[in-house]
Amino acid sequence: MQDWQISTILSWSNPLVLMSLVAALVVVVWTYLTIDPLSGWKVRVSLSLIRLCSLLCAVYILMQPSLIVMQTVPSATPLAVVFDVSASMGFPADANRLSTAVQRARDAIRGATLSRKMSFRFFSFARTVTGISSMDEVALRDGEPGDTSFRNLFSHLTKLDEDEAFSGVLLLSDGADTSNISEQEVKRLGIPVNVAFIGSDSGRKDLLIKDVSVDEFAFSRKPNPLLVTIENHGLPVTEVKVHLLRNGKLLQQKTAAVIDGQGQVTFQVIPRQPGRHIYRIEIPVHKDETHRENNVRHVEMDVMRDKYRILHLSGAPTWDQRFMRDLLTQWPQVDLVSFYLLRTPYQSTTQSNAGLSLIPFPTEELFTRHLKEFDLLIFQDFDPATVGVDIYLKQIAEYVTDGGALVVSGGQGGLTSAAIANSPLGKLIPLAMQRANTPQARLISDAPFSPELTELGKRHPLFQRTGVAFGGAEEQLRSLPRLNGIVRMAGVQGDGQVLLAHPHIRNGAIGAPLMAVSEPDRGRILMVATDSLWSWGFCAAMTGAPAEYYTRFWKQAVRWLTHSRELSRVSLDIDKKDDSKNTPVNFNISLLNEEYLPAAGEQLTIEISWDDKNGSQQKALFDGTTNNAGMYRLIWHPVQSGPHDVRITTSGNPGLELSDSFLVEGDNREMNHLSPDIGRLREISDASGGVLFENAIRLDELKLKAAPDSQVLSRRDTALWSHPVTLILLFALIASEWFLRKRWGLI
Amino acid sequence: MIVKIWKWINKAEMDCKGRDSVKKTSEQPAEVTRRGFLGALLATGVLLHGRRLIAIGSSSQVDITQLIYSGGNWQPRPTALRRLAFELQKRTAVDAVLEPTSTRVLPGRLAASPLLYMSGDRSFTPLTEPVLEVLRRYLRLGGTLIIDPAYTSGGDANGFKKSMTGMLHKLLPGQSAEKIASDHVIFRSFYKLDRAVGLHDGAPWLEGYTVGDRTAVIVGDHDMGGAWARDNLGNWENEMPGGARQRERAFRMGVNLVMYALCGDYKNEMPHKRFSGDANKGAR
Repeated sequence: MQDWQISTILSWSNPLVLMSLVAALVVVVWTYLTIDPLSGWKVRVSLSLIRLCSLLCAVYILMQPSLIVMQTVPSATPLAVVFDVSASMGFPADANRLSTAVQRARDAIRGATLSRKMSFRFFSFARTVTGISSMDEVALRDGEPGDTSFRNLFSHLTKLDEDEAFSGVLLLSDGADTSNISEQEVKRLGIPVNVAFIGSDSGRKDLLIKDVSVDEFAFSRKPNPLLVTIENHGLPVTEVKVHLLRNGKLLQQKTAAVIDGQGQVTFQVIPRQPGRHIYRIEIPVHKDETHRENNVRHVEMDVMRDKYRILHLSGAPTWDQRFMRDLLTQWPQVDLVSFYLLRTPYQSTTQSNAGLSLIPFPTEELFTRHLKEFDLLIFQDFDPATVGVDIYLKQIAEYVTDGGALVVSGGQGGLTSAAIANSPLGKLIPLAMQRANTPQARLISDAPFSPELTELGKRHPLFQRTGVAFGGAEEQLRSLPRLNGIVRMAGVQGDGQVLLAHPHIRNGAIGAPLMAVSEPDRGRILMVATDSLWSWGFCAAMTGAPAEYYTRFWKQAVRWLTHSRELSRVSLDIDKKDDSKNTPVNFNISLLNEEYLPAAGEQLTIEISWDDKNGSQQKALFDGTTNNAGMYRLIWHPVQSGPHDVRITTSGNPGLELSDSFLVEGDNREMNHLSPDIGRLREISDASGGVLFENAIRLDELKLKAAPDSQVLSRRDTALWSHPVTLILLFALIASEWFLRKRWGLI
Repeated sequence: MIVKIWKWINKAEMDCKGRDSVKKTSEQPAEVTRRGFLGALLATGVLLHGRRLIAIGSSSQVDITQLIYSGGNWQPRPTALRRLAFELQKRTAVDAVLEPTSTRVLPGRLAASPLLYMSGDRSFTPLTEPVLEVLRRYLRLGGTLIIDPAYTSGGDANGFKKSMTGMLHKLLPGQSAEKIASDHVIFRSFYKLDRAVGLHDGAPWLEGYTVGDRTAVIVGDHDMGGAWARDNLGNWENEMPGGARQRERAFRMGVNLVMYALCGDYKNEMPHKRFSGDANKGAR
């Protein structure tokens, strides 16, 4: 078949063409006006029209027209025929869904009387999409281990359609999708998707965990809902015991009533620590069950710190206590419990109690039952012996070594406490105390002073990131008001590290320590040997110094003491495209040195551990070296589904350590979605403008995209603007005008 | 030994009958004779010497600083704060400055004391805007101002109150005084009180101005300083219409005001509601 068309190099909207047309119009009008009016209107119009034709012919030549002659053939529209080969299509075992799908497709194509020519492209898909040469390739399969992902299918087809221009899709599936594809994703394909529903649930006896859902964000120390949905197919079950476990330990057990094949149960999970928590949910296996893999599910809960829970104990009402209290009560992230001794023990025995609004100190309740609920304890000029807290100092020491945090801050009463000094806690604090009966001159210096950062203090996160400008801690300290005295400690002990010291008073080779930290086991302790730190806030602001330093310092201290990850020198980002074990996991590790700068060339060891199918622990060890940015990236392919632990250790002395967990979903996710889902398939066909076949497929009823009727085999271009006929026409027009003007005596 | 001395002081106080003698109750104040007072003073000196120091430097102690201003009479009850500080030291764990200082509105001086006491018995020269700005900053940063008009003979307390009202309008523009009723935490910050009490029989409530989330300016109309004032020889400077009981309640009011400045709404915390009742098992 032959076809033709005329095309131009310059279009009518080209500026050059438009300008030429305007110029031609001006010339024609000018022509009309310059012809002698006495010669009559017929002459004037005729000459103007000839001039107009000449100019239009010139403009047309300017546009460079050409004639295109094409040889065409009728078009064949490719139809994408897609077979779902996921695990659910292998069910039931005797006459599985996949073989039904292939049979229906064959019957349809064999019996078709098509109104137009059609070609077929065959694909199979589960989690990924594969092109196949014929239906025979899938006919012999029993369903592949793998989940159905309509999302991946449509994404793949959308990319493919850009090159191959399908007229439509014929999808043969049971609709058991695990990807929760959206309507927008279906519409993005832009061609009708015709769906053949292949589904049979007959003979199925299955009790399964259909779904486990948790909120996107969970918070530590708060109840977080974990909703488990149970489904029953063909088993005589009215209730199911559901177990919730973590790290192999049973946390909770509930019974779900199963009504009309469905049951639900909600666990309230209260994680103690922030971080990634992986929970295992189990239901018992019924003796007649056909599928046992779907009786266990894992779920990952990303737990964030909701609030810092702080216990503030003060030995007396002081300005130091008052401004600390202001800071903590005004910080929305703090849940504060405070107890202040408003009377000394002597006053308690010598003064009348009548009319007082004081309450007893619930020491037993606090220190035996609730101590571990606190992220941080603050002893502010607090001598535990005065109110009988000394008997709980062993528990407090255990709380600290178990990961708790403690601040011990002056005055004199709290920093000369024999109860603390002689208790297990006394060995954990960074500074040894002097005895209370030490002469005042050797115990106290009340001369104002500006403290100095030690070398370690300059690098420590407590000061490094406190200021507006990173690293400006020394300058900022100098701009603050002087402190009003110091309690002189006996010396540094254990792994104590002095961060701030007195500039003049010496304690051996170093300045008398004002602020020191220790990190006993998993805990952290900060000791402050003055009760005038409040002057960094109120006094500073009144005298024009930076007002926010006091607040920033203490907030930084709370974050450091409670092991906030943002202050950790080693951080790990686990990047998973999805949870499947078939996709690699990226571990992005970032490491800072002691000066909180990127640690380049640092040796790392990454240990990944998981339990195999027999419950034995398996490990994978990797060594790496950080790059110049202090980063290291490990890409790892999981070999087993389930919870995994990752532990990173650095080579320094002492080395850093970081642990985290992540979940790898198994291939049995599909087993939780065995039921055919015609509703999902109908949504897809409706959204894309296709049709749904519940039984036999009829190709003539397929909805297809209107395709071009013909396909171009060859084309020939002939330039018209340089053709002799065109030039002759132009010459003839100019000549005729000249001839008529001559004849009518106008030249 | 210390406990014995304190018991002896209390016994001396309870046994003496002063000018305001009334039936003894648990709220009986420290009414003493001159001899009793001197004995108690000596004993207290011994006690304070032996008492464990809490604040390290003097500026870490709690100083109830009196505000000096121009015009009027900034110190109508010169001995009042000294006596309140003494009572504070005696009754509570607060390490008070026993000779309270006074200051004009100067940023450096105000920085040393987050608690200001302002009194007067006649009108005074309005504070200038720069001075008010310093006071405004002081309150915003956490300072507390207690205003206590003095009803002295020959004075003009109403004149002071008028000047004070004008000052507060300029100090906290757009704000008006809020009633501090007996359910406010000020009335239970140390003692449980049902009304405000001083030498003058004012309204049962106090008034206050809120800055941020706390009452930063507390205004009374009871001449509490008149009830607290006691000369160097141990004589109360003013007779109380309600006798010793009224004076004791005025001291309790003063203690509560200082405790509020130091502890804020501490007594509103949940544990205090849970455990209220038994005060003998500790002193919180």
